[in-house]
Parts: sequence; C-alpha cells; structure tokens
Amino acid sequence: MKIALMLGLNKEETAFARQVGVEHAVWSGPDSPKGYLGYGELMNAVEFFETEGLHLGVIENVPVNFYDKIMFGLPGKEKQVENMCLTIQNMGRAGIPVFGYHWMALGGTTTDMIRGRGGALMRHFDLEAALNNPAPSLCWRRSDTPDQPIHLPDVEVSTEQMWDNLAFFLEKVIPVAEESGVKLAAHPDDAPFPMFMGVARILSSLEDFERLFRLYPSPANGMDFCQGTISEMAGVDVLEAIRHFGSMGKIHFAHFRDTQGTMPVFTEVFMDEGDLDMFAAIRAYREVNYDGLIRADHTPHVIGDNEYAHRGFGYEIGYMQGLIQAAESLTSK
Amino acid sequence: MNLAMTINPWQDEQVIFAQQFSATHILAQAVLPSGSQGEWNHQILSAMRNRIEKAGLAFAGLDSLPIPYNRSVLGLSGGEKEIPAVLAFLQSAADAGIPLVCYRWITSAAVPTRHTPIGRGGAMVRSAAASSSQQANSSRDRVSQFLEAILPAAQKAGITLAFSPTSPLTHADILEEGFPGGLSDLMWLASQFTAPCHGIDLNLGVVFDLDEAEFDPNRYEETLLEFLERGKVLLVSAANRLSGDRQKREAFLNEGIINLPKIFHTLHQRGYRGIIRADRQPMMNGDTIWGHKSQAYAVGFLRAVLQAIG
Repeated sequence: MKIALMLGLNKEETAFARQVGVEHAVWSGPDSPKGYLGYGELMNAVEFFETEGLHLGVIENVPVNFYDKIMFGLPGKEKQVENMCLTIQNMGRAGIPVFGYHWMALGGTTTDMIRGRGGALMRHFDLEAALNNPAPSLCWRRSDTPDQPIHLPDVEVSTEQMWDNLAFFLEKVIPVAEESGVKLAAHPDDAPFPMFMGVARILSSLEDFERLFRLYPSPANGMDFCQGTISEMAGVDVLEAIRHFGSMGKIHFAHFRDTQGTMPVFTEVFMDEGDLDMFAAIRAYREVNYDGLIRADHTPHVIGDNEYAHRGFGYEIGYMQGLIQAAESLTSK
Repeated sequence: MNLAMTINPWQDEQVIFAQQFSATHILAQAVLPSGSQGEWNHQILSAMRNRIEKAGLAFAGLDSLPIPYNRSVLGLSGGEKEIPAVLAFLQSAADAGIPLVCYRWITSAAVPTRHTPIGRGGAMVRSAAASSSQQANSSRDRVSQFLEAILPAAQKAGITLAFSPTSPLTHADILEEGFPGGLSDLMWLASQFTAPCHGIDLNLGVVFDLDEAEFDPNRYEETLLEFLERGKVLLVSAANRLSGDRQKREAFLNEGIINLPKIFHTLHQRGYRGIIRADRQPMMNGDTIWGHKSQAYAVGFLRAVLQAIG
C-alpha cells in the first residue's frame, strides 16, 4: 500500500508532502464550470504533481452538482451522467487510475466539534441530535457556521429509488470506466445511517456494499474503504472487513483514521487513540496484498496549526509510516 | 516504553502540543520563566514540575544542566569554583522532586553546524564529513574530575545524571577536542562511572555519528545493547541518519539507515522500559524555530512504533 495525502494544486502543500515522505497525491474537490473535468484540466493537474515529485493516483469528491440530479433522480440526470462519463474517460486518458465518489445525496453529516485529547477539536456525531436538528447537521465539518443556508431539492428519495438511481449511474459509467482503465471507489455514507430528511443513504453498511457489487459486477466497481466510517458502523469487525473486501479485490482506495464509539454516537479521534488496533489494520491490508493508495483522513484540529493542518497531518503520516515500517520489520508481530 | 517530548515547560502552547500529540512524559528544557529576574532555586523548579504534572504529564527530568561549567570542560583554572553552584542546583532539583538531569560536555564556544537544504523534499539538515574517531584523553580526565566532584552529592540527594552526547554532526567546538571523540569514549564513560545515579542518554543518531566504521546494523545493535546491559541507558533519543560520499547527514525517522522499529523492539525485548523522545529533526518548510511540524511528524512515527511493539 502507498501512503497518500489529499492535496490541492499548491506548492506549499506539495512541499510538505515531499518532506514527510509522501509520493502519492489525491486531488480532492476539483471543480469546473463545464460540469465535468476536461482532459486539459486533468493533465494540468497530473503535470503539476509530477513536477512536484508526486504521482496523482486518485480524483476524489467532484462537486455534488456534477451528479446531484442523478442521485435524486431528477430531470437533467442524463446530461449529468454523460458528463460523469466524460470525466472518467478524460481521467483514463490522463492516466489517473481511481475515481473516488460518494453517494450521499445530502452530503456528510456531523453534529458537533468537541474537545478531545489536550483540548484538540474533534468531530462528534450524535444521531439523536442530528434527527432533532437536521439542517445544521448537514454543514459538513462546518459547525462553526451553523446558520449557513443550505440549498436542498424539495424531494424525498426512498431506499429502493436510491438504489435505482445508483443502478442508472453504474450502468452508464462502469462500461466507460472499464474501457478507460479507471476504477471506481465508492465511499460509505458518513455518518452511516439509512435515511435522513426523507432521503435514503444506501451505502451505510457492509451489506450495502455487497449489494453494490452485485448490482453491477465488474472489476471497475469497487469501494473507497473509509476505515473511519466503517469503524463508525455498530457491530462491524473492521479487520475482517478489510480481509473480506480486500481479498475480493474490491478495495480500490482507502482512508485511514479511527473513532471512539459507534453509531449512534461517535467521535473522530487521533489515529492512535481510537477503538481499533491500527497496527492490526495495517497488517490486514498487507495480508490481502492491498497495493492501492491509503490516505490520511481527517485530523483533529490541533493547537497553532496552519490552514493545511500540517501539524495534524504530519502526526498522521508519521504514525502511518511507523505502523507500516513496524509491520515490515517485525515479522514476528 | 514511554513517549517523551522536550519542551519549554513555561509555554502553555508547548505543553498543550505535547498533550495533544500523545506524549506522556516531559523532559523539560532548563529555562527560567519569561521575565524572571531570579536564579534557579527550589521554588522555580517545583513550579516547573507542578505545571507539567497539573497538565497530566509525568515530569521525567531536565534536558540540560543550566549552571555554567565551562572551566571544568576546558580544564581552566577555577573549574573547582564552578562545582558548588552545580551541587546547589542539583540539591534544589532533588528537593523539587526532579528525578533526572541531563548534561552535555560542551562549551558555550561550540557552535551548531549549518543547515543546508539537502534533506528529503528540500528539508534543512545538518551534515558533516565522516571523520575518524579519536580517543579524547584530556577530556576524559576533566570529565572524571567533574563527575567525581558531583556524583557523591547527587547520589546522596537522590538525583540521577544522564550524559547527553553531542554529535560532531550537529556541533563544532572550536576550542576543545570533542567529547566523546568516538564510541570508545562513550563506552568508557558507561563503564567508568558505575554509580546508579549516573548513566547516558542513548542518542541513536549520535551513536551512529561516533562510529567511524562502515555501518553494520548488527554491530550497531550490539553496541546499543552493550550500553543497555551495563544498566546505563536512562533515556533514548530517537534520530536517524543517511550516509554516503564520506558524509553523514540527518534524516527523518522513517528514511534513514537505522531501522528504528527493529531497534526499539530489541530494546524492549531486552528489558528497556524507560522514555523515548524525538531528538532534533530535519527542518521543514514553514516550520517554527522549535519545529512543531517536524516534531509532530516524528512523534507520530514513534507513537506508532511503540504501539506496534506493545
């Protein structure tokens, strides 16, 4: 497996990545007024990262307005799915092998930022609070601006409708991904619960991922094993899940973080203090010969950090490298 | 084994940094509080220890001995006049419940070597020619004189002294032959002063720097174990190095020639249960002078390795 960081087209970020020994970039949140990512835009990014000594391995989190009509099943979805196919074709031409996406029509959910170890600010989720006060819970990682207006389509989507909408997407996109040599990596719903504000969240359990893979069997149809989100699922054996999906070849990308607690209440914590044995997790990825990117995920907000959270991510990258080097060196462990 | 950090104990920001980044022990910089007009005394040392312990951290000791002993190091006349102040400081530290004080054999004339941007990703690191080691005979005499004057009192007071070796990679002393001049000096120190109130700060980078022979991981590990088996390792400072073209240079913990997880595992298996701290690290772009980014990165690495070892 190869450690990666989520980076923008910014030399301060790439210099940090190089110094902490990261060689792989994940470009998150690229935008384009065209509604898809053009070949030129993607090549610019590839060349930028190459020049900075990094390899661009994943595009993640294109804007939701690239495919919201597909998720909601609204008019205009045909145009959006054409555009999504264009993005994936262009990624293939540009040599970017993995497309990470989520299927959260309303986005991620959180409820609070609370003080954790040493007073670090950490994301906290409480399902009851989210259900009682839903709109602010949609301000993903924006609890500091709870009154920010949110535009939502006035529509409800049942679970089966949402699966139909995902099937529509996969039927169009996967053949293009196969032809283009691009693998899809679906992110689980974070927080993982099945329905919010009348809109289904259909990738909220491991069974949901089994259904996703049955829905369109293809080597291109895989998952972003967001280890933090999987850890949030109650009753899940995360290590077994790594072995299960990893041995199926379905982990196309991974996010590395940990939590304390599971649904309905959990907190994102530093990697070293969560509920999971993170060394065992690294060994599980190695057991299934996972060779894709594994990205340092969210970090708690620590004292004096800069806008790129270099202290927080420095700690995470050092921690991940320490685990991997220990796994390589300590064969008896 | 416990993860320690060396911080300025009077700066809340650094105390919080240590808490957040999982340190459990603090080896405090021996600095007076900002604006202090006073001298070192029991009250200041107690206050220092208390504020660390109130933050939920264990006070492991002081990173240096802040009382001047340049004359003793240089062998100048009047060196004996420095001893009472050193003894008074150690007594105050002991009275304040401070268990350990590190000391170096270096004068104020020693200058840190220059950083150059030849580290990974352009990080600023220090480097030096791989010079041949030399036995520092005259320094050995002075070290002996100094320790013979203070160790009995330290033992009586119940305080331990840890020798922190200085590396030729990081400091150049323009006035004095360096001590230790080689690994044999460090071993001499460990074998000569057998009192339980004296030991060494096993700096993994400096042990590498002091060895003139080509790096051999097995021999390196055996050297570390020899110090351990003598019961002389009071703390471990983690650093890594790269070498080539007759140069040695600082490296990030995960990239150097020393396999740190393997070393820590061996030390743990052989019974070491003390503290491990990150030594000086390469300087990263946009970092503070203290090195918050590079310390966070190093401590993350150490934390993972310690968890993996169990």
